[in-house]
Formats: sequence, C-alpha cells, structure tokens
Amino acid sequence: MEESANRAIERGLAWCGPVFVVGYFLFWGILGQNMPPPNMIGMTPEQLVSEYYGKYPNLGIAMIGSATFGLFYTVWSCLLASLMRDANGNMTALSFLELAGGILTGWLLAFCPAMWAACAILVDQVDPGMIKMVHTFSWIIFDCTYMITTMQMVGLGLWTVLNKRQTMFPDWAGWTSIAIGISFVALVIMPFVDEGPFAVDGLFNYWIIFGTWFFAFFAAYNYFVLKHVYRSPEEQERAAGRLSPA
Amino acid sequence: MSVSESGQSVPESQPGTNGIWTFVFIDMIVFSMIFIVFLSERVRLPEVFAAAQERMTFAFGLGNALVLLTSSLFMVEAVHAARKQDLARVRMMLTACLACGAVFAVNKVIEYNAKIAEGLTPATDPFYSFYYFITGAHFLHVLGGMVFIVHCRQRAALEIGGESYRRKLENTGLFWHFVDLLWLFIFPLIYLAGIN
Repeated sequence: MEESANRAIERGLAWCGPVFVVGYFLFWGILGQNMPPPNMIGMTPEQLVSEYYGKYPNLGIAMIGSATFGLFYTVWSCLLASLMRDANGNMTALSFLELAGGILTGWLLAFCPAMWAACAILVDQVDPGMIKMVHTFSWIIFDCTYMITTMQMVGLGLWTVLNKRQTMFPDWAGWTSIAIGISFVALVIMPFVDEGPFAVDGLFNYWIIFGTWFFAFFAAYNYFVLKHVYRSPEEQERAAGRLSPA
Repeated sequence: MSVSESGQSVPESQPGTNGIWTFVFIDMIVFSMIFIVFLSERVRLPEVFAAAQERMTFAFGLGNALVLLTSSLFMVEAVHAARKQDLARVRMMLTACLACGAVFAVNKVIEYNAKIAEGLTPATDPFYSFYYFITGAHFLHVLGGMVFIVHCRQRAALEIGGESYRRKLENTGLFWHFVDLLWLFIFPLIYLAGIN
C-alpha cells in the first residue's frame, strides 16, 4: 500500500477514538439514562420496569446506537496495536494483550447494549422477572469481565514503561494505565451489594472507575495517538524509537 | 546526573529511577481516591461504620504495622549493604524482609478467615466492602513486593556491585516503603477509628 494511503488510514482510525467517545456518551450515557445506571440489584423487577424500561421510551434506540458506536473502540485498539508493532518490528506478547483486550472490550461495549435493547423492546411482552434477569446478567458481564480491559491497559501500560526507546507515550501514561486497569478489581463486589460505593451505580464502581478509565487512560492515549499519526514520517520513526533522537 | 542502564537520566542523589517514583505517585493517587470515598461513606453511614469497626481486631492491625515497619528497616539495611557490596548482608537482610512479609501474609489470611467464619463478607455492609477491598489491594501490593524482593535476592550474587543492581534494589526498596506507608494510613482508618 502507498505510504500516503497508509497514513490516511491511520489518521482515520485514530479519529475512531473520539467518535467512540461522543457516540457512546450520547447514546449510552445520555439517551440510555446511564448517568448513573439504575441500581437493579436494589430494585424489584417491577421497579426496574416502571422506573427504567417503562419510563424511557427511547432506550431501545439508545442501546442500538451504543452497540454501533461501541465497536469503534475495537477499531481504535487495532490502530494502537499496529503502532506498537511498528515500534517493535513485530507483534510482541504485550501488543497481543492490548489487541485482544481491545477487541473483547469493544465486543462487550456492543453486546451488552444489544441485550439491554432487547429488554427495552420486549418490555411489554416479557415478565418483569425475566427483564431483570437479562438486565442484571448483562451488567454482570459488562462489569465483572473487567479483566479483558485490565489486560489491555496493563499490556499497553507495561509496553509504554518498558519500551525505553519510544516517545509516543510518556511513562506516566503507562503507569496510570496499569494502576487504573488493576483498580477495576473492585467490580467483583458489584453483584453482591445493593447500595453504597461498590454498587452498580456507586461512587467507586461507577463514577470513579469509569471516570478514571475515560479521563486518565482513554483520553490520554487518544491524545497521544492523534498527536503521533499527524507527525511527519521521520518524526514518527523517531517517536517509535526506530531512529536516534534528533 | 547519572544514566541508568535503561537509559533514564537520574540525579545522583535520587534513590531509585524516575519510573518507580511515577508509579508510586500514581498508586498514591488511586489509594487516595479510595480513602476519600471511604471517608465520605463513613460520614454517610456513621452507625454502620461504628458498629463494624468495633468488631475489628486491633491486634491484627497493630501487629501488621509493626511487622511492616520492621521489614522496612531490613530493606534499608539491604540497600546500605548493596552500596558496600556486602553480598552476605544483602541476602540476610532481604531474607529477613521476606520473613516479615510472610508473617504479614499469614496474619492477613488468619484475619480474613476469622471474618468469613463470622459471616462477615464484602457483601455484609459498605464498611466490609471497603475493608476487603482496601486491605485486599494492599495485600496484593505486599505479595508483589515480595516477588521483587525474591528476584533481588536471587540476582544478588551475580549482579551486586553493578549500578543496575543498586538501582533495582533501590526501586524495590522504594516500593516496599510505599507499601509500609500505605498500611500506616490503612491501620488507623480501618482499625483505630472504631476504638472509643
């Protein structure tokens, strides 16, 4: 492929990060009434239907939109893996971890909203107990398979701090990625509590975990990826550590 | 300014590399967020927290604090010995450090078992959610630190005398002191606040 075409594709894929953020925030966060989500563990099936699925008629559209935009995360993760591969000359275990984690996280960001869309669309036809079961099942998958994102963040973070020749991503971003990825372990408590900071809508398990993931990991790496793909070819080589510093 | 074998420029007077300081700083921010949320929950549910903290066993907390403080002393001695290239003393001090870590780990397991036997789990109430999460996260740090100490001890014979080994041991020591410092915050937060 010609170099100019390759660079255009990289830039396009880099913008998938912001597209994911805007799309998911609008559809899942705002239209999907997930700021914060309903605390289904502490609600009866009838409450979940009356206060969430039955109350907001656009939830089906919101979740289908989320399912669409969720996979832009996977596209962005693929670009990240290719940048790591280009810096090393080949795919390493850490770049595979990042890629696998990004693919699985993107799938999750689409699959779970698809389940919630089904709940929204079928709410008038299905027993509230079944609605709550599917809703809860999807949230447990969404939260408690956190390891798929942890492995992406730890893989990327370790690559960042151990690869001393690259200057695409600063050390602090790598360490932050590792720390936040590991802090996701608190999500294991979510299914067992119906109130407090570790509940599904809790201060720690929702606002802090999602907030730090977004602002301290995703926004940071998004910024550095965008900055990198707009560098000249020589500057990119230097940032990737394939050329000596100027 | 010296340059470590990994290529980092490090002031001669600064123990450890920039990387470990960055990691410790980030980790401190994460734990600070956890502590702040704990305190906000304590304000929101004072009776729940007070009742739960009365059931905490002060001796476990104090014992672990003393064990970790002692282990930090051994780590300081190990770093000093490494600077003097005293292999035997390095290994002895690191072994003592590991022994303290093992005592901490056994204490922790006994304490967790006792709590679970009483039916107190992370799902019992918000205090116990925090108790298990904060002490569990700290425990993982202790175990990670012990892995690094084992590595330093194993490599001492081959690498002692080199700048790289000294930096590695200093990094491990910094991490271990941070783990100790964390416990000095966790101990009063979890164990002391409930004492009348």
